[in-house]
Amino acid sequence: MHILVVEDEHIIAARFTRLLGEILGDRIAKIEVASSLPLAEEYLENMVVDLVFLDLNLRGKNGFELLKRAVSGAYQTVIVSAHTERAMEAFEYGVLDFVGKPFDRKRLEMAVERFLSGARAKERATRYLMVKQASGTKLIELAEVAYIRGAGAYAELVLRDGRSLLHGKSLEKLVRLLPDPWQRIHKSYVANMAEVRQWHSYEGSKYELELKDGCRLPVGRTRYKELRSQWL
Amino acid sequence: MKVGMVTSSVMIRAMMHHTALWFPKRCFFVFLLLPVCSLHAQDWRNFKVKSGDEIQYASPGFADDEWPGYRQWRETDEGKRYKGNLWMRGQLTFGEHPPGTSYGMAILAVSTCEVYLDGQLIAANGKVGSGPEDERAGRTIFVVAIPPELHTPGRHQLALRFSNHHGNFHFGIIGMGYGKLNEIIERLRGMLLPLVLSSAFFMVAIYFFLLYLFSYREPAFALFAILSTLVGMLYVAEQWRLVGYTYHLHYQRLLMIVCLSAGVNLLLPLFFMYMHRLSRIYALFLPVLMAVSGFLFGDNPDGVSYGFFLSGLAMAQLLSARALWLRRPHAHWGFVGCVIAIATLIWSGRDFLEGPFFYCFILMILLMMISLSLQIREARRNFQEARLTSARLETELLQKHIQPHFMLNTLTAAMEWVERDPPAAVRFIDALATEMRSLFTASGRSLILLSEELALCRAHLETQSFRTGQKHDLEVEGKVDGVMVPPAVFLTLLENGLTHGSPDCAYHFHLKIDLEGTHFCFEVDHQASDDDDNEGTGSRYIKARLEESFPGRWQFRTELDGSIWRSTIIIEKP
Repeated sequence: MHILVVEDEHIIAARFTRLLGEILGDRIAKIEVASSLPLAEEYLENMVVDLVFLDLNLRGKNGFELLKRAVSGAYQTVIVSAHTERAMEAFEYGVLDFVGKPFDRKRLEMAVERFLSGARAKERATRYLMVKQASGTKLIELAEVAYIRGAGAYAELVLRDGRSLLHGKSLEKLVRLLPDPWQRIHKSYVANMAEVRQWHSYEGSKYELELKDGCRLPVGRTRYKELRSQWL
Repeated sequence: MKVGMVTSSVMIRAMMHHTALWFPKRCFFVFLLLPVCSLHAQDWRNFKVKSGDEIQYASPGFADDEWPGYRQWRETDEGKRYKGNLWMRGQLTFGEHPPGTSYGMAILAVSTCEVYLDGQLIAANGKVGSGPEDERAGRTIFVVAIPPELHTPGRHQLALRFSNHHGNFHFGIIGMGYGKLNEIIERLRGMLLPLVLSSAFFMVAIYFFLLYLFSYREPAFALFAILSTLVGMLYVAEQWRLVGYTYHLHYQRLLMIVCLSAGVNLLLPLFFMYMHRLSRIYALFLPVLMAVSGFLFGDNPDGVSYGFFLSGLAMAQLLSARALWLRRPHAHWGFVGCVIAIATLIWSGRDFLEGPFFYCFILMILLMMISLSLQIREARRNFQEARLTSARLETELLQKHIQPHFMLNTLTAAMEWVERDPPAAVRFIDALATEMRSLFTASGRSLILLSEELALCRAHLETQSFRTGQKHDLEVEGKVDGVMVPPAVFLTLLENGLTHGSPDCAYHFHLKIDLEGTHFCFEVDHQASDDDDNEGTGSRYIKARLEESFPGRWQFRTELDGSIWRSTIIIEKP
């Protein structure tokens, strides 16, 4: 496991390192500390990181700009901040967890647990997806997304207007951050159950669902039954 | 022919039954206020005068052709400064009058007098005597009722018997008039009305004096109060001539006028000096100037006053011009007032006290009052703002150090120490408590001792050293004792340096203090690092604190000098 801690207070960064070391032990391949966002971004560009702990108030600045850039990456992000009143807002951008300061070992353990279990994010109030583009990070409202298709290490966001954008996270990682109606319907597809108009089954155990806008998406055989019972 | 024309015009005017009051040139302004109609072609100034005291001078038949006219007599050496007994004779022409109308005369003179009409004594103002022992002083304004049986149409002989033994002032006639008795009295009463104006000066004086006592201990206010009192007293002294008094007080009245003039003109420039905070040097010139001009014009009391006013106003004009040049607030009011006053003074000449000058001087006082009132308004506004600013700054200072970000980060750091190294945690919490304690003591005040500020700075560096794992320190060069500085100004400089530099290195701060010369000079240096941002938000706090305690007298700048960030604070010594 490759972890990056973005924290400018020396002692607190040391705390992260010590506690994560105790919690994860050998499973940690590397813990890196970056004391500023430029340093962090530089690191993330060159290294593959699994989990990022991000302090929203680096250098006393407002971290939301930081956050927007952070969540577009392939890694999961856990927000650490003194300002808990902005927690709900942070979740709208798709973070795995929000840890308030000061934190003890138990709280950090919960966050790590969440990451390891592959379970869905704590709040799943994600409303926005940040997509990295040449010109910068672009904000996409989840409501604009028709469905999501897997594309290797990335996820392709297919928008209602027909456009397609590539998100930095893989389908697995992304779906964990999405609200409940968004479900993995197929190895390569994630769709919004609230948008389903009809379910279709064909000969040869082929299943499809039809969205309200007419799109037909394949449904995995194993997933079909469960999904249908839950979402019909 | 000419005589006939004159006589007929006199007759026409006589029929208009207007009060005639002849006044000398000096009363020309009052003259303007009254509808004047000269009833008598024979101006009293042409009445004959003879020094000495013989009862036959009263007789209508007495031949006075060799006697000089009053006007000429006044130009002689005897007439200029006469004290003693004298007689005046002249002709009066009475016209037709409706029954039930009383006629009279008004005599304004610095003398005791008896009035003889056609040889008969009809009125006495005091008691004429041959020396001070047997003369009873009369009043300067005397109204005579002409007995109706003597007031027949035609020419009549008027003889006036004067004696001026009392007092220091020479004999002189201020004015004489003839007309309907009640019109004379009404007119004389009407002339008292301007005296009411004097109460305004005293009220203004009381008001500004109270303001000085209870609100603004500005010398300018006390000076204005005294000035207003003196002007009021001067005005009363001047106007009292219309009230009338026993004539021997005339000299004293004039003396009082001169003294009050001196007082007013000494204070006027002083007022401008204090109000606009001009150099005190100018005060030296004033007495000299006044003495010189008093001497120059000083052949009579009026002239001396004129000299005083000329020099006082000139000085005041100079000072207000200087204030205007230096762009002092509200300087233009005073300047304009002085211009108007000086112009009127010069135009009025030596008789200025009885002319429009006084009213222009009042206008000037009014303008000065406006200026002062504006100053009061501004002072109040600045005070409010300063209080708000103080409160805001105190809040800002506390908030900055108690805000969630700072507090919760500090607690997280404390938590780490507690778990990792408990004795270190205790030291850390102790250092934190010291810092908090210093901060709370300092925050409520606008100035603290430099030694207290440095204690606060060192406590902060101690806690920061804990948190960053680096050893920061502060070196002080120069004298610290007794210097007062606004709270947390240097702390903010240190914080700026720490926050905006790299968090991974130890900072060595160097404070240089220089208290010699005209300014206090403080320089804070620390090494620059690559990560540095330019200016911190703390600069705003620093500037606000400096302005609060040293308005307009400070400088603050931050610059990069090679590899050193230098912040400089310079404060002008009071």
